[in-house]
Amino acid sequence: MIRLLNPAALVGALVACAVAHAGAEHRKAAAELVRELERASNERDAAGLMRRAAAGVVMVSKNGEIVVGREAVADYVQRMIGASAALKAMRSRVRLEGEPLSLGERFMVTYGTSDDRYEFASGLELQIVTLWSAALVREAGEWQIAAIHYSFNLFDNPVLAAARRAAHWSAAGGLAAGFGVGIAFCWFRRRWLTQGRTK
Amino acid sequence: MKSMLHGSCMILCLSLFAAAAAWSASGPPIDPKLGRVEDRKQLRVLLDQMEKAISETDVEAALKVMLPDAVVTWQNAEVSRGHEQIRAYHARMVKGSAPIVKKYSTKAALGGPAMFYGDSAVAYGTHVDTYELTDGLSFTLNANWSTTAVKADGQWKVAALHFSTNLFDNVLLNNAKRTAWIAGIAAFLGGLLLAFVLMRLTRRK
Repeated sequence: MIRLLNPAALVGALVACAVAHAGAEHRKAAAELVRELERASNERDAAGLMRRAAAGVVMVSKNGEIVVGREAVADYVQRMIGASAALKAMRSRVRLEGEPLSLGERFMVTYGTSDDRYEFASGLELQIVTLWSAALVREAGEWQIAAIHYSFNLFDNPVLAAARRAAHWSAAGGLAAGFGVGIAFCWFRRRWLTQGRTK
Repeated sequence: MKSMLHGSCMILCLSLFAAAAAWSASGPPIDPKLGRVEDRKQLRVLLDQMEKAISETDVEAALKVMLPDAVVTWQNAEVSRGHEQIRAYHARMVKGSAPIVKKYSTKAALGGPAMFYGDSAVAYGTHVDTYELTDGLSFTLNANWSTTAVKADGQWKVAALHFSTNLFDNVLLNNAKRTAWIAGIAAFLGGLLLAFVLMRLTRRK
């Protein structure tokens, strides 16, 4: 009781409550934002994807581009997802990992993964686990994306695996082609020499 | 004469070193029109400290400028949260009985002016990493970074750090593609040789 009446302990308890409250609120807000982005992404809704972007949003994409500002990111999203004829379909399942890192009442860092599946018009299919981290800011009562960074496993990803598989196929194909050409060349040469002798 | 030459060389080297250090600390000039000049300067100092710590694989120096709960997303898709996990990741990569990385260095560049949101800021840019792995593989990687920093008790600290590269154009992928070409050509020549040997052995006497 005496401890509870201690002003320092009371302030400490209030701060702890406030932090816990902010944490729960931030978690809920991050989850909502993620669901909204997932839906917009799966529906290839470029406008929906941009609805929660802050004016100075920074986006680092998986193809190594750094895009800054809402307009530039909107162009990028439209080019890559909205209007891209090369991309036939895409499906993402986005997950939050760990608790958001609350940096005050109106800023937080959140991160997670997403299972992405891209189907291209060329017939190529790409399934990849994407890592993402985002800085979120609350402006005018709404949480917005201040920065979002996408990445992947540099040492183990489907594009690299395909290139490594291609090396095996290339070796097998090269061996078969070399053998075939060698046999054909020898056979024709032998035939030509035999014909020359008989004449 | 010899000592004078030696002295001049020393001065030249020191001047170059000082110029390089000054460039590294300042980067491109800060535009005062963007505002928060003092915060921008402090952020640059923070990023320089971070770059130096990472380049020297000095995890304790890096942790000094990071929040206790900082989140780092690495190139190998691992995420470390908090000092203990970051320390453990570093230990696994460069220390212990079976370290993965033998030598590592990085040179970072700012991508543009930082974005401020109250006492938080977002900064981003590129970096060139040089890796020397214990399995003998060495490569130079062009990559991107982004960070969220927060000002706590008057000091900027790193809250989150994320590293990535280009999925469709990176050194490992390009090496694999080159290997495919080399393997194909070598196998073709091997096939030719095999065919000649075989035809020679089966030649009618």
